[in-house]
Parts: sequence; structure tokens; C-alpha cells
Amino acid sequence: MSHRWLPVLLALVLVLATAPPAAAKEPTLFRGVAHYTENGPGAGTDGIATAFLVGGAGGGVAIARLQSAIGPLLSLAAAGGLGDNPSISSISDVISNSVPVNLAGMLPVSGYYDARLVFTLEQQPDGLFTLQEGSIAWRVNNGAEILGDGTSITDQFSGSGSEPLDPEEDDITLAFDFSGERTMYELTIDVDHRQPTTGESTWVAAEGAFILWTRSRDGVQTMGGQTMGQEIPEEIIHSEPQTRGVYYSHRGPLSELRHMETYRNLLDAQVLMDYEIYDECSASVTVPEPDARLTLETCYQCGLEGELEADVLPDVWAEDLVWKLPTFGGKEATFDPEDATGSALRYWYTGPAPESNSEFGPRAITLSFEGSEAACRAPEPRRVRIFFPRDKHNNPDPSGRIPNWFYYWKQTPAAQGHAGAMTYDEDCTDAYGYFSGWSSAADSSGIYICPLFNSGSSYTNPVTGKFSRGIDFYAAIVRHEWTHLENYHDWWPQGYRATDHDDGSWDPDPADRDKDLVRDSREAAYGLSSRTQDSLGFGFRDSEYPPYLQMDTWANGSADRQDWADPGKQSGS
Amino acid sequence: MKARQVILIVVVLVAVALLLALAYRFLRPGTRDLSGAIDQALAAAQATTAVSMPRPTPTPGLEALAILLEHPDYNLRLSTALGLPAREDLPPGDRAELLATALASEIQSPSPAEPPVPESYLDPSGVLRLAILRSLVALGPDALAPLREAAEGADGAAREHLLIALVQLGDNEALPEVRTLVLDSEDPVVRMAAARSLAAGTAEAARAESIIVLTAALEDPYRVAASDSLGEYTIHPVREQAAWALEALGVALERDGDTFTVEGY
Repeated sequence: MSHRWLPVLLALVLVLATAPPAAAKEPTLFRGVAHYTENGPGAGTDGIATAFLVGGAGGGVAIARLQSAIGPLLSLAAAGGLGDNPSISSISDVISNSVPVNLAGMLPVSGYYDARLVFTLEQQPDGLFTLQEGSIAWRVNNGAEILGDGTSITDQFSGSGSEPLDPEEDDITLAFDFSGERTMYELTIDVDHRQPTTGESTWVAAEGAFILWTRSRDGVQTMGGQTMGQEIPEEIIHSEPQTRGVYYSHRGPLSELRHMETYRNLLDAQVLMDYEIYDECSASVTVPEPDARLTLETCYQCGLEGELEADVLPDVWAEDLVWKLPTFGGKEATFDPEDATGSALRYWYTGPAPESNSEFGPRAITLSFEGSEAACRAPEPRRVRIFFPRDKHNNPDPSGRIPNWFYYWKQTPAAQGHAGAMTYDEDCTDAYGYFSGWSSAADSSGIYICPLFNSGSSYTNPVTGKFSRGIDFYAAIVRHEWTHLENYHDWWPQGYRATDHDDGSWDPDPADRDKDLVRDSREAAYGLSSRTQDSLGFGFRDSEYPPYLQMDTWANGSADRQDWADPGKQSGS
Repeated sequence: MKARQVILIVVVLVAVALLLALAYRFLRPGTRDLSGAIDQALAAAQATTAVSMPRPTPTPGLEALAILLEHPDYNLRLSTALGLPAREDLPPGDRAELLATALASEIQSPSPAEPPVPESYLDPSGVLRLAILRSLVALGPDALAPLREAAEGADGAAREHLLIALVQLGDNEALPEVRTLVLDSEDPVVRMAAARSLAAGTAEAARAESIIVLTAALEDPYRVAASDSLGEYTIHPVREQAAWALEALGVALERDGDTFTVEGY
């Protein structure tokens, strides 16, 4: 190799070795919610009686428990009695049982503390997730009452508030351990917040000769009283609210990223911890299914009704999920619950059904999260399709005798522009439709449609063999009867002059010698004979053949997109 | 060491370093990103059903057609029978066999009278049998051989219908039997179909004999009270078909109500 090529080769190698800088990757974030409650002694610590009882008797028990439990805990741990994954709950049980008393039942104090944490954890380069941001909302109350001979002590304090978590001071971590067969995680929560309370504690002794009180206003505590008529001046004893902490730790498999446990703490307060770690706050609709078929109920005053369900992750935000349904027939939906929120609810529209066929078909159910502290992603609108029950009569027609298919299909292309000239005749059972012009010239401007679906949904043109069903069947019959109407006016512009007899028989118009209702002079144009009633020999009068041939010109499927009958062309049934 | 060797060593070292860097980049244990896994699981859980693909309209083959011709739905049987002549993708002989089988089946187990075929003066079985005959004739001369074979193996009404179809297809051998059917069959549908078929005879001798029979059929007593979408009426179906056949054979007719008169007779 010549030396002069070396610099080129090195340059090439160096260029290749110097990979372009990788695009900065967004840190992985997890989100979480936690709900922590204490119910019992120590949940709130304000007041003279509470301090005396909880700090005195309760504190003694707590210390005794800690001292007594060390031995058993070590033994259990050595023997594996705490299991592979000891929880706060199991450890608390061991400690509480080491001094088997129930302070919650013994002490005349009550206390309740509730804290809800919302937080975001950010993955660090070492894989640990640490607090990025969050907030805590809390409320607390406690009370106590000691009554004796001329002596009483009463406490009543409460407070609530919220504040952001401080990543510098507060600690929430999530660590994953991939080393074992099962991936484990460990969640640690150690956060503090100021707990300003408001309330009063009063100690009355010697039948009122001695009164001592403490008061708290937004965490600023003062004390005062009187003794033997001599006032003890009020003075501030705490100028800053006390600080309250929440500590919790849990190790578990990934399946427990949502976890709840309860236990008694050192002071026998019942503790509940319920948390969920998730990567994104979201919801997905489970009911109705995509493109679900929603068919109107069948009674006149019944409207559309059904269930709505969604999976919300985490489900703590389910109550912030708001459903919105489109108007149906100009009416708004009613919900249960009324505010249309939650992961499961019922909706209904009052009847009767809408007037317009266009009210049926695809509609979108939209959802949103409103008022969530977390930035939840609303799911895509859920598309559903609304149908009317084809053979029922719950349309707005006041007679209640018009089937839905006749009422709504009249508004579609299947009616071929003849809606205004069509009448439904529920009493005719031996035909699909008829035209009365031949027997009554006054009735020659419209056609009649009969019940079509008494014996099935399908139809075969007995002359051509063309098969149709549903709305195509309807369209074919409309075209058939309308052809009769057109033929009548074409063949008999002056009307058909039949002669009726008393016995019910009739003689044809003089221009219709074969009595088939086709003007003799026009029969040849249709390939028919002016001498015979059934020139084709298929089993029909000649006047029926032009309409049978004409009805085949309706293209099946032409009105499918406007057919919202169930069963129908778009209902899948 | 020569300069060339040094350079070569440097080049090799650089290449090895580059390979090691690439290997580390691809083989190092990566930080597990659970959000991706959760996304995948969520996506799987929320996956909707597969997008439905448009399906071609199935074209029924011979086996499917045979099933359709026996289908409980009258409309399907009628539609299939009337649609067979257009199925030119299937051999005419096979279609003729299908129709002959359907005819025999209909004769053995007639379609129920209810519901009626709207607007027809015949019962559903009569409409279907006439439709099958029409389709057999529409198959043309290719249907003659299988029809003859079917007629030889048939008896009773099935044979009568097949003979009528043979005559309509121009088979003069069946003419004598069919002429007998015009006047003697107890089935008015057979009588009317037989009468109509006689119009197909072309030989002069055959024509004359057929005219005699058809003229006699103008007195057929069978009368039906019927209705269609235009109203009620009465009809003599056999007379009508005999009259039509006579007209087709060039015989002049006069009609007065339900009575036909052959001019010159």
C-alpha cells in the first residue's frame, strides 16, 4: 500500500468511528396516585386530652411495643417467618401483637387523617425513578373527651389543605429489580407537609375554678385560661403549624403496581394505603363496542337506551370522566348518574323515535376528563350506529299503525320520489302492493304498499328471477306499483271503462277484449297478445308483466347507505 | 520496525476499537423501559377486531345450486331456477340435470299453498314448475339429451313435465304423449303447459293434429278466481294457453269474454 493513501484511510476510519450524536431521549416518566388514611389514636394530635392520652398512654405502649418486638422480628426474619417480601402490614402486625392491647378501643380519643398524593416520577440514569413533581391534599380531624368529678377535658380540631411536593425535601422513589426470576419493584414514599389546623381544647377543673385552654387558628396555637378568677393571659405557644409526614414502603412484583393494604400502626390507628403507578392516565371505552349496533327500543314512548362503560387507568380518575352523547331526534340524552360522569353509567333518550331517517346511522360518543389533577388523555370518540327496529311501529306517526320501515324508507332513494303518493295499507295480506286506478279513477294518483315482511324478508321476481331483500324488496315493489300507475295513465288516458255487474263480475273496457287491462292496441309493443290474458304463460295477467320487467331496473344496493333498519342492509342481521 | 508496519498496526487497532464500540453499543444490557411494555400491553388490550376485508360475492357452484334448489325458502328456489339459464359458466347438461331434479322434487313435495305468490292465479307449486320448465327450455338444444335421459327414467307427473319441455325444445317424438296431456291430465298446470308447448311443433302433419287438440282445449272447464294488484278477475288458464298456441300456429281466433272461437271451425 502506498503511504499517500494512509491519511485518507485514517480519515475515513475516524469519520466512521465518530457516530453522530444520538438524539436526546425524553426521560421515561411514570405517574402515580396514592391514598393514605389513618383512623384512630394519633391520626390527629392537637389538644390537651389527645396529647395527654396519646402521648402518655399511647406513647408508652408504642415504646413498649418497639422494645418487645425487636426480638421476635429478628427471630422471624431469621426463620423466614416474614416471608420473602415483608410488608409494612406484616411488620406492623408483629409489633402490635407484642403488646396485645387495643389503644383505639381503650382511649377516649378519635382521629382521622386522609392524604391523597398525585406525583410524577422521572427515571434517572441509574434506572431509579425519583420524584419530579406532585402534590398532596390532606384533611385531618381529632377529638377527645375526658369527664370526671368536676373535671373535663375536651379537644376538637380539624384542618385541610393541599400543597405541592418538593423534590428537594420530599422523597418518592420507585426502583426496579430485574435480577430475579420475577421483576420486582420497591416504592418508597416519605413526604411531609404543613398541617395547619383550627380548633380548641379546654380543660376545666375544680368545678370551673381552673380553666385552661389552647386554641389553634390555621396552625398558630395560643394558650390561656383562668385560675381562681385570675385570668391567665393568652400567649402564643406555637407560631408555625406543625409538620405532618406520610411514610410508606412496599416491595412487590410488577403485578402489584396497583396495590392496597391495611394495617394497625403503633398507636392502633387503622391505616389504609391504596396506590397505583401507571405510565399514562387514560381511558378506553369498553361498552359500547366500536361500531356497535344500537337499536331503538320497541315501545312508542321508549327511546334509545343503553349502557356506557370505560376502563380508566388509574381508576381513581374515573369520576372525572365525562361522557357526551349526540342529540338524537333533537333530544338530549339523560344519564344515570345525572352528571354523566364515571366509568359506568346508563343513558336514555325519551321516545318517540325521531322524525327523520337521517337521525339514524353513525354517531360519535365523546369523552373527556374534566377537573382531573392529572393530565389524562381522553379516548378517541367511540363510533356507534343507531338503528330502528324494522317491523315495529314506534315512529312518530300518530296512528301507531305505520311500521318503521315504511315510515323511514319513504325518506330514502328507495321511495324513488313517490313518498307523497304512497299509502300504507295494513289490511292487505295477499299482495305486496296495489294500484286502484283501474277500478276507481279517482284513486289513480297514488299507490298502496302492503305489509312486506309477514312471511320473510326476501322476494323473488317470479318473472325474471331477480332476488331482493329488505329495502331493495321495498324499492322493487314501489317501482312495480308505480309502473302500474304510469301504465294506467299511458294506456287509459280517459280512464278504464269497465262495466260492473250485480253478481260482482265485470266486463272489460271495449278496448281491452282479452280483459287483461292492457289496451289491445298496445299489447304488441310489449310482446303480448291482444287475445289472451296471460300471453307469457307464467301464471299472471298481461298487465303484470311490464311492471315485473320494470321492477328489475331497480339496482339492488342503491339505498343501502340510507337503510338504518334492523334487520337491514347495514345492521349485520 | 518499518513505518509501513507501524501504520498497519495503527489501522488494525483503530478498526478493532471501532468494532468493540459498536459491539458495546448493541450488546450492552439496556435500561428496561417499562413504559414501552405497558404501551404494548395496553395497545393489545384495546385492539379492535381486524379490519374486515370486502368479500367477493360467492358464485354458487353446482353443489351449492343443488342445495339452493332444495332450500326451504321458496323465493330462493324460484330465483335459483329462473337464474340457471344465465349461468353459462356451467355446462347446459349439468344445469338441465339440476332443473330436472328440482322438478321431480317439487312434484314429489309440492310447495305449500300458503303463502300464495302475490298476483299469480296459480298456486306456488304451479308458478315454480312453470318457472323450471321455462328455464329448461331456455337452455336450448344442449338440454335435449339429458332431458330425454331424465324422461326415460321418470314416470308420472315428473315425466309429463319433462315431455312438455322436450316438445318445446323441438322434440317431435314426445308430441303424441303431450297432446294427450292437454286434454287428459288432471293437473291444470300440466294441461296449460302442454297446450302452450304444442305451438313449438313445426311439421305440417304435427301442426294439424295439434290444432285439433288445442281447439278442443278451448273448452277446458278449469276456471280460477284470482286477484292481483289491480283487482279481482277470473281466468281459464288452459283455454288461454291453448288460444295463445293456436295464434302462434297461425290460427285465427275470436274472443268473446272467456269463450274462444276458431274461425273456420
